[in-house]
Amino acid sequence: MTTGQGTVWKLNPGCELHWRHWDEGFVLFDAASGRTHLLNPIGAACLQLLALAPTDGPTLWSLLRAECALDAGELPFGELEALLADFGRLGLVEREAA
Amino acid sequence: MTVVTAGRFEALLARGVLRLRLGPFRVRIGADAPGLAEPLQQLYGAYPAADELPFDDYRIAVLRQRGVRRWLKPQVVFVADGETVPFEPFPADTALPLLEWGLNWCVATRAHQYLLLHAGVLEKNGRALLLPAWPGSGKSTLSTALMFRGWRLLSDEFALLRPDDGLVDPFPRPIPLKNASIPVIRAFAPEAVIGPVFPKTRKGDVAHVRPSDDSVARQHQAVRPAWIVYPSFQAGARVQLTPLARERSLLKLAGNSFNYERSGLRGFEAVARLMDTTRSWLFEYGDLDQAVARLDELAADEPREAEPTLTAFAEA
Repeated sequence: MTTGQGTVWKLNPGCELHWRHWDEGFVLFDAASGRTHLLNPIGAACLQLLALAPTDGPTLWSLLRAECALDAGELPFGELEALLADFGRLGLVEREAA
Repeated sequence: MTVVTAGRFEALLARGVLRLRLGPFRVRIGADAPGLAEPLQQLYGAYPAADELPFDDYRIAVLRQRGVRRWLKPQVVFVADGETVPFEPFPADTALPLLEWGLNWCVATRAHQYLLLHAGVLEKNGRALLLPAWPGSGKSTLSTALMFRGWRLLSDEFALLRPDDGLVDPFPRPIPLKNASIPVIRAFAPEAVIGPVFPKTRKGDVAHVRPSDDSVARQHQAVRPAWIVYPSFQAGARVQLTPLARERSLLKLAGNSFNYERSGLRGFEAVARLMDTTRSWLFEYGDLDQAVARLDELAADEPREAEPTLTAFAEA
């Protein structure tokens, strides 16, 4: 799974997400699947950006680095691709149909 | 409150009508297994009788197996609501451990009005300490030790968390000590009333400690949790209490629950509310006296964020 220029990502519309945060990171409960996830701030920000609007990979990468105050060396594009692939396997995100 | 008089246990068991109030549950017990009445009376003699209502939450029995085998190698089976549950039969002389494990099975598989956490629960100054852990962590031994040092036992096995208000209902039961924990508690609390030792069960040697009178007398008083401590006994380890992020604690509790997955959003909200009102720690210890002293300090030091809430359900 790659997230090139033409791939637009969005939250899986079947998800029903509930967020909680206390000390470090975030807990995400998907009431649709019944699964509970522990996310670091980058993963949480990624999903929250996609919750605002479907976004292509490069734009998401830029928004995410701005949101988390990270430069390109701290968050390589390949890490975002891996993250989105993980989220896809978990049923949290999907590619928007062309 | 009335209790079952000592001389009646055997007759009531034989007729299948020994009714006891155990925490929020009314349990009707029957048995034709030999030698059960005396240890039951020893361990459950202070519990209220539950004769006031004509229905039971759980109707359980330990019965001898029929057939030729009963003469060669007698065994007993656990029966709940008239049906044999999927346990292998036990040797007839281990009826008490089978009864205890069977009742735990009933609660774990049926009491879904609660979020069921596998945890010891004790109370001090109106606030509850949860000790979530899987077998082998020393949970039962630590719960017993705390009970003999001024903490009230709510349970050594189940935190019955009420999803609607976040309180924990008590369910004090005899605490099953295993193997080396039996002589450890005999030395730690010589006043402990400990039932017969059942050697070489599937969990090794097992003996049950009678809950304190205070724990039984106040089994109708629900408590709001304040501390979640994950115990881990390590021989020779010094006491160490390490704060745990509540996000990680929530995941641990979810994995430790008997019914979190089937509870859906209601279960998540219940555990999340628990995180809102508690703090979590990892707790390594190698000495009971030091462990109790450290948890006493925690209970004394932790600032109170709100007055404890004690509520009573209908007392028998």
